Amino acid sequence: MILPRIFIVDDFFGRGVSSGANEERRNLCGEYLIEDITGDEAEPPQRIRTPIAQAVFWRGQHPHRASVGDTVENDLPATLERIGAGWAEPPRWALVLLDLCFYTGRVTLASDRKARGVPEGRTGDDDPANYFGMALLRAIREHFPDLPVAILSSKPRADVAQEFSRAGAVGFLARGEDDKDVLREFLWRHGLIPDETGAIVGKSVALLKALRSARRAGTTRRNVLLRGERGVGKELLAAYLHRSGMGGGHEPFVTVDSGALQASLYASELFGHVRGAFTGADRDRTGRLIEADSGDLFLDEIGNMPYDAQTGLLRAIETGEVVPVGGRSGRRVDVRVLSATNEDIEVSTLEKGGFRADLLDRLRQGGTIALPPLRARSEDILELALGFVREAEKATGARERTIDPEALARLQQLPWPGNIRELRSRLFEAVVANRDVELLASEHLEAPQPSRKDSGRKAAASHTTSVDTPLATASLEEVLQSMSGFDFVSLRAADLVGKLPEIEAAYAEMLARYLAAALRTQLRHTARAPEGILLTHPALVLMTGAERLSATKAYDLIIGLRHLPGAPSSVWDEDPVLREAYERAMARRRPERKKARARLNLNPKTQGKT
Amino acid sequence: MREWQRRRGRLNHDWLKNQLSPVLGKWLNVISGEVEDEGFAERLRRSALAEWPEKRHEIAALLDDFLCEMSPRTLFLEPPLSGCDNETKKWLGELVHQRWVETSETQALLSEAMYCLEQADLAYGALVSEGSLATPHFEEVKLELLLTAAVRFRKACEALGRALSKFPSEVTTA
Repeated sequence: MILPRIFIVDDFFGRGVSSGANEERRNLCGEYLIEDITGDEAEPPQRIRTPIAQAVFWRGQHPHRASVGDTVENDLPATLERIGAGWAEPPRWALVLLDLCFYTGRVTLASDRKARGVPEGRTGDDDPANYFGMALLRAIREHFPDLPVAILSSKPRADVAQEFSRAGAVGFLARGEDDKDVLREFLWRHGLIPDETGAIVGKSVALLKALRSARRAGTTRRNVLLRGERGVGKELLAAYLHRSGMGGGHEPFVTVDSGALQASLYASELFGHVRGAFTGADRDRTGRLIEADSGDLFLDEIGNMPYDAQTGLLRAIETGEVVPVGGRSGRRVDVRVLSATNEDIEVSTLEKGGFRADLLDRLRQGGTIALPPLRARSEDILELALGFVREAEKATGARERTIDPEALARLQQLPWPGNIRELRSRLFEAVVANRDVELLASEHLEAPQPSRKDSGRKAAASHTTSVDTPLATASLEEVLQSMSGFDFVSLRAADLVGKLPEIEAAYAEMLARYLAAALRTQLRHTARAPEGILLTHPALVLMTGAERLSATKAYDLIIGLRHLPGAPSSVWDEDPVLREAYERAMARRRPERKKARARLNLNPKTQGKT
Repeated sequence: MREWQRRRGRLNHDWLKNQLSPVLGKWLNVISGEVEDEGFAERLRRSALAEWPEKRHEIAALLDDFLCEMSPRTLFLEPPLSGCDNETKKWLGELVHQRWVETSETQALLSEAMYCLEQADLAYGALVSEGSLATPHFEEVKLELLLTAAVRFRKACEALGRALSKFPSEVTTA
């Protein structure tokens, strides 16, 4: 188990002791059950059976080891530098604990006798208005706004109660009050700590913040909405939230994938039904809400929930009672609903009338948690990739391999519109296709296909260059096989909506590029025309593979390709070869244009809009 | 900073909270088997616990001196009130002092702190009795009894620390 790492800035416990050990620090660690990993002591560490955390202690002053005659001064820059060093990369500080009062001045014989290396203190050191800990707090919040900071002090809380809250500290741990339990609770509630079960992989700040939100939400029974792009792991986060609850995950956790359910069966799935409620209901069926009684119901893709089911769910949440379809009486349940969506569901409620705003309000009573996309946590890709590669090797019996740093760098640069699911799938493909290699290299990886939206944007931005994806380096046969074998059946209904125009546009653009390539292969270069003379007919013969092709037919084909639905006008206008071929075809076939369109069965409504 | 405050800081913040409290907290974890630290029991017996009788007297003296050293009457020892004539300083100082004692919560603070000190001393006595601190093998007595006594002493010390923290950090008239 990886222990959370905390940074403790305290003049007394953080100081180095010239001879012997900082016995007070050792006792503090024994009291809080934390492992001291500061590394400034020669004595063997005490053994803690089940430590809560590891801690690095820091004096916040110079010199670190002071002796009689030395003058001790607070050191803000060095403290910020040390915090920054431990925050730049994992294992990061899960929490910073700050003392309030730092004593400065000369170390005298008397003060050293009291505690080694401790100065006698100056007037104002322990004045709450001058606490160095508060100055540190403000500086840390300014430089590291995501880093959680708490006050750990034996000074009265009341002296700084408003100031520490205003300055952004997450809380105040008063020393001497059930210390280890309070620290454990603080770490759980405020610390940036990874999922110790390993189910959710990663240590990026963006992920750890989402996990912390889930832990906090898990302590109540209020409904929570999880948001994030497809493939980011919303169901895993829901399960984590479930485990973070009072019951530790022992209560039911029931999942309903709204995207995979037929609208007509949704209500039955959720609420159950009685025998005879509808055709085919030959026996009573218990709904998911009842199965989840005393636990959590996870509703994925709630944007797809039919309106009727929304109404029923709203009623069930409000009344705490579930009435099965066709039933007359209900059953009381205690269910927390964890729902997830990758849609802008508020827009759906406002514009489409598709999702009830009152239901949405109830689904996020306990808050909304946003899971970051993979591109926002690229530092997690190595750990994720290693896990997926091992998983694939085990699943397929492939040879174990390492990941080439170059390949890793490439993985980290890609946008991953399908997020973790896409990364996993890509790595599985790479392992399956390269079972016997011992190094996963860049060439074994196919980059993710850009999402349709990305693809559209990219096409609009640059039509004259080929798309920079591994598909471009694949053989044409492989591309055609991928296209024709694309499995739409596995997609959810939501993913199928409105895709025809995009598919047509992709098809039209591919054919335009095909024509351009064919035309270029047939350019005739002469001394007078070194750039080449365009020969359209041979190019079309090349494309069609026809033994005999009339010039008229060739021109008709060019015109037809230009007017396919979704054909990209920018490609045709900007590529000089295509533009000339089309102009020549139009000049020759203008009288026949309408006939040509009719033969190609083109939709007149789409013409001229490309 | 007044000398009384310095004394309080040394006893409460530096010793009670920064030294005794962690060592007692750790001791509870050692007794329950959570922490193993060779030589800890001996260090505890010879230093932290052995210091209690002496510190107890220092804390009692601190409380005894509070009314005298933190009274607003002491303001007449410093400028600008030190410029008053002796007669005025005497009668006005006494008046201010009496009013402070009667109207502020000083008596309540003192009573609470003295009670906590007494409780801590009783708990220490029980711990010494249960733990046989005089022998180096004091941890070999019945663990349950020792644990109970240690928890009681620690809680009493924490209560004492909280009570000492409540005293004003500067000379006030009300």
